[in-house]
Amino acid sequence: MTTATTNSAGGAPGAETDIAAHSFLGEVVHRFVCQKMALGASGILIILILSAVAAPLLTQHDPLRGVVSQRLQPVGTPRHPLGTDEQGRDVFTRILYGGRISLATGIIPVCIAAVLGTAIGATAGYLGGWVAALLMRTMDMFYAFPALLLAIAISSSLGPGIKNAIIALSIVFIAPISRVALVATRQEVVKEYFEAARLSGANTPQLIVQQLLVNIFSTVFVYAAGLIGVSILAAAGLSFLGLGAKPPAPEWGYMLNALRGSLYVQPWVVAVPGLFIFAAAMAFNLLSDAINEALDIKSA
Amino acid sequence: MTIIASTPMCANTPLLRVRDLRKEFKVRLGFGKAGVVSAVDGVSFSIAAGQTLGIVGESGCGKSTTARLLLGLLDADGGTVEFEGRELSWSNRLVRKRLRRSMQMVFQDPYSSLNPRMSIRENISFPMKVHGYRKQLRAERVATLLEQVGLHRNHASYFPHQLSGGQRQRVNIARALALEPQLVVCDEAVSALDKSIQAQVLNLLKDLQQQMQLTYLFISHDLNVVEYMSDRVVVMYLGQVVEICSSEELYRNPLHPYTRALLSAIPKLDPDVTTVPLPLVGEVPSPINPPSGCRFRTRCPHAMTVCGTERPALRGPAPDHAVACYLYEAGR
Repeated sequence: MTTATTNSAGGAPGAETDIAAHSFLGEVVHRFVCQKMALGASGILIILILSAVAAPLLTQHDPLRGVVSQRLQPVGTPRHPLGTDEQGRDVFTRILYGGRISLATGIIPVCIAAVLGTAIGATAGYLGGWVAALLMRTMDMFYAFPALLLAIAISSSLGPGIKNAIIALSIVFIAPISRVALVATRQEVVKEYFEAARLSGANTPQLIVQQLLVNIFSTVFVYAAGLIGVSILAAAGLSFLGLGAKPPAPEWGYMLNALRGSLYVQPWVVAVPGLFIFAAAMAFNLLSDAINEALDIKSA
Repeated sequence: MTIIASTPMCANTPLLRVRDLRKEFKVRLGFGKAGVVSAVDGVSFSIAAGQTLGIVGESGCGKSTTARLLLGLLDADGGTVEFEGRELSWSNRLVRKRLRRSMQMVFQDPYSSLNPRMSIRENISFPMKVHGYRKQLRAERVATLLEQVGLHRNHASYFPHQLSGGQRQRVNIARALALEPQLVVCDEAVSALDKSIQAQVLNLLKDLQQQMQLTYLFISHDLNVVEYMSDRVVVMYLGQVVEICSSEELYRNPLHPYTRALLSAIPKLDPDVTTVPLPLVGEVPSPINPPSGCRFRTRCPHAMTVCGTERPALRGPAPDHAVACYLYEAGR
């Protein structure tokens, strides 16, 4: 797959034209686009993100105000391609505007938790001893609570609102990510290249940042991307309880719960927000798998 | 009290002198029981500048632990290491960083000793980056080093998994030489390579030693390789030094029963020469509970009562040939 045409017998300099330099990034991108799944997943995500950002350009309906006499129109109605909700608001419009909130509350907490969790887990894995014990037992305190309950507890003490929901979810996800980072770190620091790096005279921060992080990155990344779907759902739960997005904000999870009662009236309309949550979470998972494959150059 | 009988080849202070190095590891033996593995017990030797000292012995005899103690990767429980006449103290961080420039190591496994997610260039230039070399200088040195070890400068943008074992080991050597060290420890540096590649890499090491005036500490379990590379050889058994002499002397006139048994086990190329391997009775004893006195006595065909009393001192029948065995004590 690569252009490594060097002779394999110990590397005596062969014909200079055989050994061409090439770039890491180019190789990763090439491997990425060769996977059909990757292109599909990226396509879906690009559409979701762009449509959320460009919502005002794609629809003229008001996401917050509806015509009650038009409530619960089915999918495919002339002016409402995805139907209307229980208050007569256009579902398609609410999906587009809601995408902003839902995707944000999906991605941002996971990003924050990934950075902090990796820092904690990698430090604990590298230093070991009482530092590791202190850090990981602190993480265990967060583990003691079921994730959603913890999010609710933090959220209710901070107050309602999307910003507080994001903070609450970040805190909830730090502990599991730190544990993944800890295990990955422990596996890497016993390898010989790490000993060689220590032998170069590097101090602890240099070792962790320059040698360790690249190797635990893909493990943590795949796990974190899987959490994005969970985060979207958790945000939905918070919104339902009035702790996240406040009604009438068009957050997908809130829409799902609000339409729940109309399941027997217009089942397809009720399914729409759920389908979008599913599509977003699925696309993130596939994308993270694809990036992991592309970065894992060893399996060339 | 051990006496170092190996004299340096030149009149100056040896580049490296190890005295009475000791290292123990604690192990858990079961519920509540703890044992102590005596990995290195009173090891002493010295290396003169520009020479190659070989350390040979079975797996588990403490060769690699000794190397790591020398380089400061492990903390010693006793003994001293002197580099260029000055005693090393690894506790001072600044001293430690400076020492890293003088002493480096080539590791055994060519694959796992390179960071798989970093390019060859990044792997080799990491030590230089740590010590503050500027980017331009690093790039130049990487190219120079790659050519010195017999690779092409464009290999710098490759990744470890794209190179063969022999090529990776060359990269390891290049990385070890990046900071222009004086002492290079080769810990089983060729053991993981095919025989034909071993020869190439060994010759490369010899060439580099001449070009760059390097001093080698060459660790191996393969006697032929050690004999080819070394000027002097240290034979270790179960954490202790049993014999020190020049490599010709080792082959011509091995004294310690263990060394003799090792040498007799090497198959000879000449079909007319029949080798009768000297029998060694039993297995290597557990390092958690080593035999009292001479540790080799449980397998030695010449064991005497005195061997169980006290550990024999390392002294020589000749000025530069020392052996730790009661067979050669005064009076015999």
